[in-house]
Amino acid sequence: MMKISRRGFIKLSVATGVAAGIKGKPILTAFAENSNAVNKLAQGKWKSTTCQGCTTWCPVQVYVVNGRAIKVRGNPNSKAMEGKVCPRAHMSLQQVYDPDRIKVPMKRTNPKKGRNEDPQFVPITWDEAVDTIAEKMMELRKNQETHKYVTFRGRYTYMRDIIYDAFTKIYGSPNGISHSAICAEAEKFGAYFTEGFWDYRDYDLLNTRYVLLWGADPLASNRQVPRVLNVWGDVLDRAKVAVIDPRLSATASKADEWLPVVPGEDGALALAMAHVILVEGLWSREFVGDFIDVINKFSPGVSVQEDTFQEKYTYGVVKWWNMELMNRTPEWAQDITGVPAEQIRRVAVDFASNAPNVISWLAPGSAMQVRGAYSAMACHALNGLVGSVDNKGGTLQGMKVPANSIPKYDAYVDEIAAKGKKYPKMDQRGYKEFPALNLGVSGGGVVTNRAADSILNEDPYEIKMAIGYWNNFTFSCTGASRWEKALEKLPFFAHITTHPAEMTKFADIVLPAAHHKYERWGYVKSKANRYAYATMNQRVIEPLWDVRMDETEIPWLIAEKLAQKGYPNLFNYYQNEFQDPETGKKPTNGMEFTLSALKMFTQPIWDPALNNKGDKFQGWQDFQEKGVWNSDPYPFKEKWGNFGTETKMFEFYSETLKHALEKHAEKHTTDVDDIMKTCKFTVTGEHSFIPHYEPAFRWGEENEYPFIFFEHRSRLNREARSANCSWYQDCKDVDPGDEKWDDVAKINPVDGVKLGIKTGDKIKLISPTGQIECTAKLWQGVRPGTIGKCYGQGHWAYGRIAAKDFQKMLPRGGNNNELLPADYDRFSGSTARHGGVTRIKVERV
Amino acid sequence: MANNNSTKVIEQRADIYKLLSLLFYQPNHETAGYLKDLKELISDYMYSGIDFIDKMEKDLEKTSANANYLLVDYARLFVGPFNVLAAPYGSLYLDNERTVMGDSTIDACRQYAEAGLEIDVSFKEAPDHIAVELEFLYYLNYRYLETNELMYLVKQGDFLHGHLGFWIDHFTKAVLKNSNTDFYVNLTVITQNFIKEDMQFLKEFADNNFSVEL
Amino acid sequence: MPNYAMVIDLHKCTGCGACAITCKNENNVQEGFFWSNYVHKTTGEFPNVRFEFMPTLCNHCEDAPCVKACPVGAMYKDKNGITLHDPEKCIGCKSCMIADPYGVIYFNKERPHKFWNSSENAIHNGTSSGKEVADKAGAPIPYYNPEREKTYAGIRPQGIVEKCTFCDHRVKDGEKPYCVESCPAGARIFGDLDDPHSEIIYLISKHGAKQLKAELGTKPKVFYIRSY
Repeated sequence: MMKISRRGFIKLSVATGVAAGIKGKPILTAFAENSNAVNKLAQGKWKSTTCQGCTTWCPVQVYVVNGRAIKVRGNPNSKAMEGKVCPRAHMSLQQVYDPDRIKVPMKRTNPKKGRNEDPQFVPITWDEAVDTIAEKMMELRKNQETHKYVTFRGRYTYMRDIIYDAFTKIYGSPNGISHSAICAEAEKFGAYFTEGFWDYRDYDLLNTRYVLLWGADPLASNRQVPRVLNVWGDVLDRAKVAVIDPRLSATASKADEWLPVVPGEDGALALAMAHVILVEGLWSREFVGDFIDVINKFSPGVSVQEDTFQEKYTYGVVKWWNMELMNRTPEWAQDITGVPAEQIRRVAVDFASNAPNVISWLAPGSAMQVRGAYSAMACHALNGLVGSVDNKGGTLQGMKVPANSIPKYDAYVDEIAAKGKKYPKMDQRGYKEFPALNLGVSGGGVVTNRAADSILNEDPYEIKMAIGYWNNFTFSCTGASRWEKALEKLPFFAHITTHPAEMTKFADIVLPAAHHKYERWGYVKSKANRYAYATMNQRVIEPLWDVRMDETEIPWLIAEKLAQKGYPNLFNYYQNEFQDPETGKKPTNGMEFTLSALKMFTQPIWDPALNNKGDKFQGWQDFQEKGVWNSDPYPFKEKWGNFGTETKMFEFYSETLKHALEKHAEKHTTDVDDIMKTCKFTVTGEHSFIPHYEPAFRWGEENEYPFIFFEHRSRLNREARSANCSWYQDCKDVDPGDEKWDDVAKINPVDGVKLGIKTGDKIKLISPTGQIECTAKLWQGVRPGTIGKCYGQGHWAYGRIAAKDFQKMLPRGGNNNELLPADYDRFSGSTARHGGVTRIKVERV
Repeated sequence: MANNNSTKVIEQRADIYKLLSLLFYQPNHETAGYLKDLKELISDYMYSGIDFIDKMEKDLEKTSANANYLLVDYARLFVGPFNVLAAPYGSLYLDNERTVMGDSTIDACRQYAEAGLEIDVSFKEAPDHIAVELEFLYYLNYRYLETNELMYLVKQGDFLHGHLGFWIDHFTKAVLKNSNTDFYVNLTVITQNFIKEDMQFLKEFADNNFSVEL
Repeated sequence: MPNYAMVIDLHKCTGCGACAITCKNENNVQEGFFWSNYVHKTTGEFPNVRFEFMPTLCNHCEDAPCVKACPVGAMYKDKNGITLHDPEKCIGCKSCMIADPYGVIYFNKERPHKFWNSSENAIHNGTSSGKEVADKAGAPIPYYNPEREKTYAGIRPQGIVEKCTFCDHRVKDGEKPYCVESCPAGARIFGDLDDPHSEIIYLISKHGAKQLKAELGTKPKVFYIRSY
């Protein structure tokens, strides 16, 4: 409702009259005087903010005319992206102005939950919505059941700790459960257990001479798309590019070599390349070292005495050779991977000959597989063999971004909360079958997709209530139907969301979220082009609807309500500990709280008295306008001999993994061999600690399910949140092999003939755990015997473009996650969505 | 140049526009005061204006028994978000081709800006809301009185012709058809009548003044 | 007077589609219309497969068949060598479309931007409609670019054709066409064909260039260099 809210409004009376104002200032309610208004109107302004359409997290600017966002460009102040954005960035205009956005809080009036139940949402006030949530939370507190509450986090900014950590813990639950394991944890595993770095790598594309891409499609997706788009022409001029991908991807279509590996057999390919590099004597003498007599003794099938080799910055190269590599010839790999031995040899030799200015670029495609942990290690280990780790033209870690963490909250945790948060987290991390070895710690990482089973089986305990934000697990997790069941069972669920997503359909309360790029405050950290950076999410336009910020304003509102209902600790923490660093003022509302927190977190960046690295600012205002802080460029070779591993060396024999697995086994009073078996691996003993061959694991028997199914990402996906944009659908065929306004399964024409299926036929894909319908596309860019399909379409909710019929809940195509079984790379906790995790059969509809 | 007599008229017109604008906000405890002010002013300016306001005042009294009485009608008519029955936005009534080609809201904002105004950051409604357009006319009168520059009266005529004066009839029709309260029926009718008469007044005023100058 | 032309470096082009999307953004182009467009083809047999991508747009031909075909002079060459269209004169006869060998002219059979004029919603009371968003944002489409109005209809009404203008509204202010500006790969270069020192002349002479359907004698001014 439109209220007269202008402060200082003079109450009218007959005696004074409005015209009394004429002697002084005019009394304005809707307007403000501004003699410069015409110029503002005509010129518009580029305002800095951040695009989080994918995890590149680009510093961008939005052109705002008259309060409307009109265009997007890369932030010219960014040294990582150099002012570029990818096509996704522009599409966000259709997200923020999407008529299908939730515009008011809603509650469900149909108590029955289910995919085919209409929730019968009705609008309610923010007060009622927040009151309902707080009431439920107080009920759990009363019964000392606070641990039965969960915060499900999806995409996030670094304001996250306010809701994910402090909110959850001060309330009394251990259950901040993130989405990370459905994203890409598996590839971090590869880097961690070789070079001790649990993160994504950066790449020195300017100086590289060979790029070997493992299931990576950097022209299309994660993690530095604009940077790659920008320099790729030059990279192709200077370097060779080889792409390992079962599909002719966007990047493969411009590459020198395409190695269409049988899905899930990437590891075998990497091992064969390592074999070639050693046999041909192409390893880095500078990094790995050499035989003492300088004569290469790596000869196929022949083991080598360890003491004949003097290693420099690596650990266990001879062990690796003796235990694994000596028999991993290209001929051996050829039959397994479907890639000719000759090509494997050629690529390996080319790659290593250009070393050390080369990149073995590991991405989720080659890592998020049931046995992907060891593939990830093998692919990344190639960088170790040729000395391209932390080297010019190679793969890099990142500079530190100076930022403050959240203030301590221990003093605000009361007895009930303390008891509640001591429970183990609900996602089964650290179970014998889910080591989730983030940073080498058993249960150190999340097992996101397991949370559904946890709810369904009440294992480790019952869950009664959850708040989810910026997530859509019912759509984005493999084995998606389990999530539907789990949310049916969950007694109370509040969803903070921009759109009526699949997960929203199961919500009791729906809260409209501010859009990350246009309507909120926050900041994120990322890196590319040797620069780490911090970029701010800023409110560049006034929201059209009454939306709130998920990570700050909403927890503030709930904290206020909890205080009214008798538990003031959270509110006190927010109010006392988040004072504006410039004025010392305590926040009095959610917006002030948000800005105070943001200023606090980023003070080491913008405060000239504190910052002595990278870009310098005059103060908060200056940082806000520029929008991005850049580090100094990353220096080469400084990690050599000082890696974060047990041995400080780059480990081919991973003492770090050995330590982690032994600790995990010890915790479950068993041995590593048992853990290996439990986690679906095939080897025993010392093999567990080196990158070794594991055959691809697949669901379904070949005789019943003749095709290997694999999926990939779209260059237009904003993490499956852009399918409701008409620009997405109009241009969907920029993904090689795909079609506009459709969702196609790409089938090799040879198989099409066998099946009697032609392009345009409606087909059903059936796996042992699910089935979906979509359109057939006969295309030469996939291997016979495999079927590839892009992720992102198949929404049965989300909006009227994303879904074929929103009211009838009919999807446009089919969601791959309904086809894919819920399986895991258990060592990282990661969801195993790649590597041909399931076989399928195809039927005509 | 305006003489004392015309100054008084302009002041009254400013006041009326401002009060009408305020009355198109959500009703509150000050609504009665605005009505009282309006009653004083309108009698000099508009035939039978007082009768309309009497009906409004009577209707307003019902809010003492039921605080939400007017609010409900206000929401149904003007707010929604659920099925707005008489949308108070200009762009909705302005002809389709014009909206597409010319963009009426942008044009309104341009006119505001040219008069040195921008929408206040705390104001959450569309810039072509009736309350905004009425307040704009108030402001133009204020500027005229302050500067004696005739262009501020010309601007009023232009704005009424291109915007509020153009769509007020359609809007009134929608309110008459859908309103359940005397209050909003009469408020809208007063507004419509006043605007129509004022457009005539502006025309004559401008003609006279220009002829004097010429 | 400059004679504007464009070079598209297919080697640099990554096929990302930003040109097609941002053109819609800049020129308020409706769903299904592509002033800036692309073609692609997959050739060969697994595993020896090639996927090629080629951005396309109005070629702004020196000898433009669409201009010749227009009976009312609505399609015309301006003094800068750009092929422009006057919506006031256009009678919607589609002669230009028939004459155009490149398929870059679109006809507004219906009222444009239906989506933003619709009052349908997804969840009654809980979500809005295209019309409501547009009204609230205060523009015919919420991200409507008013700058397009400087030289052309901001949105082209029903009953007439429309096409790429080389972003003449930007070019006249010294800016590059938006597809050039927003190409993240730097694959599009805009310049004066009559200026021997221009970058486009340099690139054309260095790499050699091909034009689409040059054999028709239309003298297209979009030049493709290198290969995808």
